[in-house]
Amino acid sequence: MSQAGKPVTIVMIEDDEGHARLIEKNIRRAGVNNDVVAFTNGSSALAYLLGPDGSGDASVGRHLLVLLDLNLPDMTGLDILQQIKANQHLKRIPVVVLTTTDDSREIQRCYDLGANVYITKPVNYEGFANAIRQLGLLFTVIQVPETA
Amino acid sequence: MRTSETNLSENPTDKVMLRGSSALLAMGLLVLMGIVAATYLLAEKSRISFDDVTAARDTRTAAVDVRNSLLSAESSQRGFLYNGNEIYLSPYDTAKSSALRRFEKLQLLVAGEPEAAASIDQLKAIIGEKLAEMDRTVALKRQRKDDAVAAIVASNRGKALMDQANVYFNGIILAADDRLTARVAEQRSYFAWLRMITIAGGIAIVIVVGFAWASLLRHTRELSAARWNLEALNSGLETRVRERTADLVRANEEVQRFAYIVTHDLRAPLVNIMGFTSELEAGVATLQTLIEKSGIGANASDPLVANARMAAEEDLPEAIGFIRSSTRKMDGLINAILQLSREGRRPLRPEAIQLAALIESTVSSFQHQVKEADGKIDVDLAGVEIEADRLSLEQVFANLFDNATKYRSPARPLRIRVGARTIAGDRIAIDFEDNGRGVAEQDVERIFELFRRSGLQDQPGDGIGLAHVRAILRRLGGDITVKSTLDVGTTFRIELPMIAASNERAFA
Repeated sequence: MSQAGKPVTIVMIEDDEGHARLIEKNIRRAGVNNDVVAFTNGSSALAYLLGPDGSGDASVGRHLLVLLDLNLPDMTGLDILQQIKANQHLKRIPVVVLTTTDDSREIQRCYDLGANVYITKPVNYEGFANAIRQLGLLFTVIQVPETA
Repeated sequence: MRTSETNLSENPTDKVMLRGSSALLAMGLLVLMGIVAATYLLAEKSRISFDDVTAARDTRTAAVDVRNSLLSAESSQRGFLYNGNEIYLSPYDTAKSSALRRFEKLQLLVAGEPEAAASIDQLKAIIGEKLAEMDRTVALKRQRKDDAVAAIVASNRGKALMDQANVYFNGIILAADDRLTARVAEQRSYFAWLRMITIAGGIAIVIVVGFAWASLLRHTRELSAARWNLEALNSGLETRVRERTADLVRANEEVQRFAYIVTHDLRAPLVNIMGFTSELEAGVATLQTLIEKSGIGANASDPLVANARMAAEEDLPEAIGFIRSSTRKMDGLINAILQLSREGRRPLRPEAIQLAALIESTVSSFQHQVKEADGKIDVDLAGVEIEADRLSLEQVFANLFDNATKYRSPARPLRIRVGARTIAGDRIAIDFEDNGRGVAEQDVERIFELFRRSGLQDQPGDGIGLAHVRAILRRLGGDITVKSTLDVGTTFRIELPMIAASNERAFA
């Protein structure tokens, strides 16, 4: 999923390493070969996205896509989503929320905060794999803007 | 119980006080009655005595009058006798008749006194004789028989008669005077008594009223103290109820949150187990393909190779199968808990519901199963309308119809009967009756427990339906109970308020 020499980096924020591994495997199976940068907690992910000064300047010029789990040990995924969408450099990054919750209110809240896609992790593994693969397909069709 | 302490009849001090008050009142009444009786008696005696006084005075007056008339007649007679002038005789006849008339009156007055009767008769004789003597002298004087007159006068008989009469008159007057004095003394003593009794009565009344007043004051004070206590207790009770309710609501919210968190956190590792099982499966499939294609160990004499082949072809797939079925089951359970917890958090929207229509629409989704069982559903709910959350009731009846069709008896065509009637407290009882296989007596409560099932396990299910039904109904302020006979049928009784409670039960 490279677009005219601008490879998209997938930022995966997921505390469960098993989930992270399964997500990555399935993305690869779907034929997505982009770089995946994995974080197991919110703070380090935010540090990567916002840079050491917290301004988001660090991400200028990057092509990013965030895969976000809502249940993190140090903060909720909603906090991260909020900070991404509030930052002028990061707000155009597509965010895919991945969580075990299929609570309608939480889904609504994610979309209200600017999430682009919301995917429930089904326990049914086929469903899960399918969802991830479809996500890979999605990656191949969406235009990921350069972070300005 | 505390409330009984405020009950008058059960309070010992109140009993004593009531008894004391009534004794006091009775005493006061007795004193008053005594005073009234004594006053009446004294007044009556006084009246009798007064009558007697009047009688004595009349007697005395009458006696004096008779004497005066007699004296007047005598002086008239004497004047005439002295100078023969008729002028002197002019008052004679009047005085005579007056004396007689007045004597008759005196006679009447003393008639009631036996001791006076003898003397009055003698007086009558004397007066009669005196009058006769006077008449005779007057007649003789008129005939100018002065000698005969002088002889009579000289005999002094007239003076003697008059003196005798005077003795009797004086006797009567004295007796009357004595009676008057005695009666007046009597009256004076009656009045003294009356005054004493009045004073004593007044004092008694003051004492009784004082005591009554004091006891009334004390009682009133006690009553208001009791009421104050009661009010304090009441407000304390309200506060306590509020606190307990808040505690309950909090506890329920915690249970809800707990269930929610547990299910979500349980799901995360399950995703991994399932995911990596699939990876394992894929890996095993690759291995199997390799073994098949290469033909390794097809008829190997090396047990190591044979075992590896065995593991790849049988042991591993079997293990994976068990892992899968177990995780699937676990997922089902977690989903059930999640569903219950969600149901408890869903806001209720009470609306007017025609039960017949609601059940009709529920039945329509079971048409196929009912037909298969040669079933017949008899709904007798015409006009029954209640106010409740529609979705909740739909879930309840869907579960009940689902159970009735699933656990029907294969020996007979399915029959379901739904009826309702109102019961006390503005509630409705809906009976849901089937002729299915029934529930054994020892399992009757168990069927409402989460993940518990009863009877022959020949139907798919998680043991959630009835637990869910009970949770829903309790949240609506109702409940469900069951009566069942094994191999005959089951009757579920749903009880619901006709009007949805304004604030729903905290528990889901």
